[in-house]
Amino acid sequence: MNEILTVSSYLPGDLVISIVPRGQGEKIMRAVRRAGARGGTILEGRGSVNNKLARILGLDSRAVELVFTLVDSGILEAVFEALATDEDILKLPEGAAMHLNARGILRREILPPGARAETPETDIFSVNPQAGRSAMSQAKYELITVIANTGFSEEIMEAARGAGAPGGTIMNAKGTGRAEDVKFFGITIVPEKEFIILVVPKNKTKAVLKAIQDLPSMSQAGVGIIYCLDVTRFVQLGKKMQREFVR
Amino acid sequence: MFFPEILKKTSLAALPFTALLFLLHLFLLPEKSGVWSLAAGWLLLSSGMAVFISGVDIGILPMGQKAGSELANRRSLPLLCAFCFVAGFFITASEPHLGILAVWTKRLAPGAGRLSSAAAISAGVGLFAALAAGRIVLQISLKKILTFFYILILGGACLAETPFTGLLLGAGGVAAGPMAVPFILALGMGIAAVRGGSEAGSDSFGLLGLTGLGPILALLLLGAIFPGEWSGGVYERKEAAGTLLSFLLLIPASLKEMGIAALPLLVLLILFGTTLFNLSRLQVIRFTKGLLYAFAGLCIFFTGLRGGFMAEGNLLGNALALTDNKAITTLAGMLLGAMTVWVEPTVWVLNARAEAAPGGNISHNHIMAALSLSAACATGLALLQAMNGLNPLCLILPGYALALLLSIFCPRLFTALAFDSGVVMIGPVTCIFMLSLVTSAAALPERATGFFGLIALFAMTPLLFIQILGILLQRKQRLNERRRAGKEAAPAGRQ
Repeated sequence: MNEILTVSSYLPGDLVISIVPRGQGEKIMRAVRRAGARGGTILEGRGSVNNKLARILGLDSRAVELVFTLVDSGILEAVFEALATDEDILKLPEGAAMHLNARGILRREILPPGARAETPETDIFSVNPQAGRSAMSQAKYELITVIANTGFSEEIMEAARGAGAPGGTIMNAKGTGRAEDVKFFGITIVPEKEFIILVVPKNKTKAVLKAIQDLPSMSQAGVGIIYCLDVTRFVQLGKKMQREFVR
Repeated sequence: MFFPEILKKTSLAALPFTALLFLLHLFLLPEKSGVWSLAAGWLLLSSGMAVFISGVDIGILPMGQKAGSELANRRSLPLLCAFCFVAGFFITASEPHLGILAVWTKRLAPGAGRLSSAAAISAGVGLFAALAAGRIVLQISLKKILTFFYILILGGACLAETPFTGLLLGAGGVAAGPMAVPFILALGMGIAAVRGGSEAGSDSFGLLGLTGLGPILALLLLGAIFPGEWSGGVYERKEAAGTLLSFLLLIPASLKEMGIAALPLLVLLILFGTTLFNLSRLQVIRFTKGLLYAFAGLCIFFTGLRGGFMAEGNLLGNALALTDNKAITTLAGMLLGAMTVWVEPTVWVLNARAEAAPGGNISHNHIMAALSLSAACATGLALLQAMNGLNPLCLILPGYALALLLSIFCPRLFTALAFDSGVVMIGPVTCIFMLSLVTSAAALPERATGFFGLIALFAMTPLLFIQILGILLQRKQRLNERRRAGKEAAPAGRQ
């Protein structure tokens, strides 16, 4: 029988986002795989270096990679342990990792050889992935995501920094063209966006949001949108790991 | 990238080049005085390159991208093309290497004055920049346009009375200097970025490659309009001895050259900041800083290149010619050629963009290896043909034919990248250092032909190697996919 047997699963899990200098994402992948995670997805962005002189000179941006890893609940500790102790990662000049609660991870897996073919399909409607999960530990940080039209990221970052955000990561993104948009020789012109993520201690979230809200460039409708997510854990990686995060 | 990291990378990249020159110097040259100027040259070259790359990152690239996407957003094709024409024209007109192209003009069109030839070349760049921008919007296949124009040029070169015409194929690279390359590259990326659809990734490249056709056609046209007898070429080179004073003496010239080269971008920045686009204060400050760094970096770079390496190239070339051993000369030239790619600032700029290209999955090392190989082959072939008095066209014409053939099988992104590389490879190090080396190593009585042969080969070889790389990578990716599919089937198969 040559048919590949697969089964879907729908379970609670955890999302670990690691941010490391460009080209180093593979090291994260290797470490989390050793800890039992299956893989990950790498996005590219640019981060900022926390150095006053570099900022004045305008040389404070650094190309980074964001590694999104979905891990099964239970191995979260092992993943963070691996990130903190991996020798390659310890050598990185800068890096960070955060943990977000993934409410349910739906995936399809290949059944191991010998498994019975009659394994029933998971019925998503009948499963509550959060059931039996202990209440999450109190989130200390928040992940603020700002999606704004291209060109405002500098101001947004500066405002956020002024309000106590330690730094952020910017990714280039595209908006969606609308159907009623005028086409330009058959091309839909899509608005360019910047996708900015900032991890902020929970007590500073509101100050940061206010600072961004008060920016003159954010005063028009439709310029940008912001949402916040709980971050239960946030650690520095690499050489700066030992340093205290909250200033 | 963060500046100290860039500096580390550029110093390491310039190290093998300097070390090889150092070794050659020890073996070939009696006097050891030049060694110190090599060390100083290395320091200036790598720090200048790092400052330049930082400036490009925060200034020139975002500026070009902003211009491209804002203009595409205005939804007016005439406006977009007009802007590209004007920007291309003025950036080229202020290009310091335009003087090298004047030699071509003297050969092909002795009747044409210096000013009119500069105007024609600049207009050529502008015209093709406009054409390339229009191509992205109108979604005309890059491969088709390139094939059309190259067949036109190659046909013209075959029919031309002087074999010199074929050597024009490198003219595009000479016309695009280190200020123009990042801006034109970014312009295309900006236009491609606002485009919806799946091909936006491969459309980010190719603008430079197409723009490089402008000077070639302009020179061909000049030759047709102002025919005449060539009365002896002149190509003046300033020699510099390796003393501290000579470095200092080079600074004013570098400042002036780069100042002129940066001028059009400065004017554009002022236009962007005041009237054209809605730039925020912070953006203007950042772009200004970037432009300033790019300018300062290039000044440092050129001072190091001229002071530390150019004279060295000349001396080494002479010494190699004296050894009268074609094998050693060719080998040394090939090794040096392979390493020039690592110290060419424009190559760094293109490579960083290629690495970030969406959907390409291109590794920095792959591209560098392919370009090193291209440069080594180009130098080796140029030396061989110059020393043996062969006609360089015997290599160049089949090379281009092969490149066009390969483009049929090559993924679109890599074809675009290959033609861009052909322009980018001919940067300051090739134009200044390799020129000194090759012309003196081949002991050419008349330097222009050998040099232009070298340039044309430098423009041709990356078309082959990058496209071959693209084809190989595509095959490997397909193989991987098949293997992965096979693996997933395996457990069930055993059952």
